[in-house]
Amino acid sequence: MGKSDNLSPEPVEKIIELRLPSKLGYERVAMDTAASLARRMGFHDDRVESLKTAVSEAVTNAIEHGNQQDAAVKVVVLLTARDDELIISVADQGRKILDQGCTTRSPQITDVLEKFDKGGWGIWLIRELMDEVEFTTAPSGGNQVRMVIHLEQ
Amino acid sequence: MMLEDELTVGTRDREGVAIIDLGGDVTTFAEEKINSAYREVTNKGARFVLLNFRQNDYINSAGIAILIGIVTEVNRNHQKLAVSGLSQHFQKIFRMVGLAQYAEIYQSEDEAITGFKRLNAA
Amino acid sequence: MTYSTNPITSLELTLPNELGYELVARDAVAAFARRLGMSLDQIDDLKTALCEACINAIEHGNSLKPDLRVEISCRVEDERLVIEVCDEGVCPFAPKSEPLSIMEKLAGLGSLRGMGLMLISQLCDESGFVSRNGTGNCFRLAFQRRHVTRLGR
Repeated sequence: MGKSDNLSPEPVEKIIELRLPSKLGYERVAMDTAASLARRMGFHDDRVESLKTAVSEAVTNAIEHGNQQDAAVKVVVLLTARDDELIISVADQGRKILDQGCTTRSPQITDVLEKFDKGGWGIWLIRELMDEVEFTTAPSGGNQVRMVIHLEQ
Repeated sequence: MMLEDELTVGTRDREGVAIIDLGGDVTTFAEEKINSAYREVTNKGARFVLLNFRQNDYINSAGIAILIGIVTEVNRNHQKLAVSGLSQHFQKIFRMVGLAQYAEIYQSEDEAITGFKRLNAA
Repeated sequence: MTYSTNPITSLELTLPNELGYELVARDAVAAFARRLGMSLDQIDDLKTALCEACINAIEHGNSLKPDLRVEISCRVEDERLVIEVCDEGVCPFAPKSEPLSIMEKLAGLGSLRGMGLMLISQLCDESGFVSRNGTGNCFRLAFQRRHVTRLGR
């Protein structure tokens, strides 16, 4: 990997784009693709596992909520490899817009045990496992989550 | 047609511990299988329940919600719960979520059996 | 279950035109084929064939130019998985009137490109260049799906 100096401020980027059917189970394709790229970039195994879980949660949310499991519409995953980081963005069609309140909540297991709905861990896990996480609107108007994982040497 | 990563669930008894073997993906599709295996061992009077995972399988947040549901039932039924066979990554996830407060985490089935025996003697 | 031409179960992937990225494509498509329930040995064939097709696209069709892209699409058609690997056609594929034999190739006649194509043809149920709207070469690989019938564990 090239050293950055003042003469070349633009980082070299390599982009892989993946378009998946909105069907539960197909998040596996995004997980394996991201893991394959991350391993090639030199991420350690435990970081690759964290990445897989974060990608799984982001894509599962897009399939279930943003695209309402309509297999005919796609989840778009962009993997951008830079010298020192991997950026993963996951976008859906926004059939259901993510409640921004969900993006900052930290569920507590003692509370969750009392509730009927024992879910709500996905976004929290993404935030815990990735170095940077941002929830925005995709060019399509849908939900988009942008996650960054840094490559530590 | 069966996908290779579709969950298979089995139950067995070993030295007074009801073992629920889980092989494959623990996701939203696993709910009925895991809950019915738990009901089956509970109806047989299990006091000690071990969820025995297989390394490198895939567990997502929907799977975690199912397992929290099991914790609720275990508390209600005054049973003891442990897990074994989780990869390092999912051991970490279980601790992050707080499941480790309710279920002892063991590396292997053998360690879990020893742990339950110690608990029973205490 | 019937699998008529099904636009729903499809995957699209684009890659940077750089050798090495065919391995990321391989892992993506292998994960997709596993979701379709294809057998592991058939998936092994598919992985090798896909890598060869991608390398052809990167090295020849796109002449190793780093700014170009390779597009891969996978879809289920009846009982077949059809994969297309398309490049931007810097170097159009020119079919030889008569394929060279392995003896001729070993003797250094003709390019090694033909070797990749020969290997692909051995591994797939159908393979070859197809015409495509717009520019670029498009190579199609098709596999008759052989399902996993039992869990081999």
